[in-house]
Amino acid sequence: MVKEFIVLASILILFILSMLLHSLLFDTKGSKSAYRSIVALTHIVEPSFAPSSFEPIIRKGKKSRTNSIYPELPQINYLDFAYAQ
Amino acid sequence: MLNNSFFYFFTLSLFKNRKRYFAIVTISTLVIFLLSSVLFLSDSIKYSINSQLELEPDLIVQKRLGGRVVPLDESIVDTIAEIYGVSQVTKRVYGRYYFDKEYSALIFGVDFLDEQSSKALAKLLNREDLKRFLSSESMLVGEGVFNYFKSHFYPKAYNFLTPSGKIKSVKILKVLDRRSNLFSNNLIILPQELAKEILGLKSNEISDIALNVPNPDEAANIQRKLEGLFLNAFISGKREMQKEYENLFNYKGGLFLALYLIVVMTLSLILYQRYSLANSLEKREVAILRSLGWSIKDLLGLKALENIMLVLFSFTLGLFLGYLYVFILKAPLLSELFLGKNLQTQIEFLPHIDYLSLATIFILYATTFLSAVLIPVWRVATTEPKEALS
Repeated sequence: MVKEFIVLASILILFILSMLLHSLLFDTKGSKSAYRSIVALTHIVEPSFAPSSFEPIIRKGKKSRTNSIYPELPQINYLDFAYAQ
Repeated sequence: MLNNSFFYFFTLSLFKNRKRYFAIVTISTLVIFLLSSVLFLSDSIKYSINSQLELEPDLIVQKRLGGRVVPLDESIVDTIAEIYGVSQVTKRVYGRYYFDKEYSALIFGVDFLDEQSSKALAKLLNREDLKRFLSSESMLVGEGVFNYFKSHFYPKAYNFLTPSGKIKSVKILKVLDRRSNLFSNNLIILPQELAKEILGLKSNEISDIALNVPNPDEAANIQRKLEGLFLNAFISGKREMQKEYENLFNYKGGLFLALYLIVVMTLSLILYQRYSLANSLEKREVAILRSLGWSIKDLLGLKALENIMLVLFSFTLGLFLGYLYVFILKAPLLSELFLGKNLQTQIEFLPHIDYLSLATIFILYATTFLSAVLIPVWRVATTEPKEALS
């Protein structure tokens, strides 16, 4: 059972080493300079994913039905034909 | 040490009872995985934001009516630039463009006459691209925006609908570096005049003004002067923004930390009950070893070593899985919790780890785990083996 224990301990060490290696070899400088090039232009230092807390947001309601072939085309329903007549 | 009989017995006990330990290790690993991934993610985002904060303008001048940000007249810029102690006054034009009810992008207008902006733009584009950007109606888009355009059959240009009802076709000149997705994912960079047209601003209107105050001692005085410039002026500073984000991420991370504490306490209570229950397997094992002549010290040593191994194994495995989930798999689902869901693409999080908070979690976890096991073991070990077995 000592062998199994040594194998287990080496796996744990391997986990720790792989995390350390990844964080050391990661191109942090490159990512930071990519951030810098954007922030220097916009002067906006905030994650760009969601609207900020102070911005007016259109709350999500029902999912709008979209045409799968050309999503921005307005949907045609039978009333359009009725009004057209 | 490896030939030591005590060590041999410890490994034997550890591996023979692996089925018994499986549930504890699985639950502990899951708890550590969840908490560590939340911590890794919030620390990484905080670190990325903090690393760029020096580029954030010291003060931002906005006009707010009823809490809403409204456009400013750009003639105020000259008045602000004349204030003693103020430097790098930049007119900013930006706003959100909604593609539909769900998805939106941040439109930012670049002022070519502004020295800082033109320098930053020159770094972002090569000379030919810069010429094309200046001469034609084109835009730079983040990866998320580009993916949205592509999926909606606009791979080369997009038709913006202006507030006046006109359609404005703008060419896609370049997709921004995907490494900057954290800041540029839903960003559209346009020439300022074009941005004004799409956002519905008049030619003399801007969104807000950014400025720097090189001497921090003058900041409060300048802020007072700016507030007196016009009615409804709203001045926000770099520190306030920093605090706002720190509070937001600490709040979200704190929620998970509170949940973690509850789960760890519950787990240790279960363990405590398991070890102190009459006729439990653990209790019998301790009593048998005592009757075979093991001292209390050796027994506690064996149980401590066994459980330290379990703690180390589950903690390292949980941490490794958390690291893998956040920094290799880019934290699917969890990243939406921190960054919101809008034009999502994968973003690379900088592997930054706050060792102090990890150490705190480990100490909290290890001490509760070990005390929950060792206290009942010590109580059984100090009673007569006969009594414990009966």
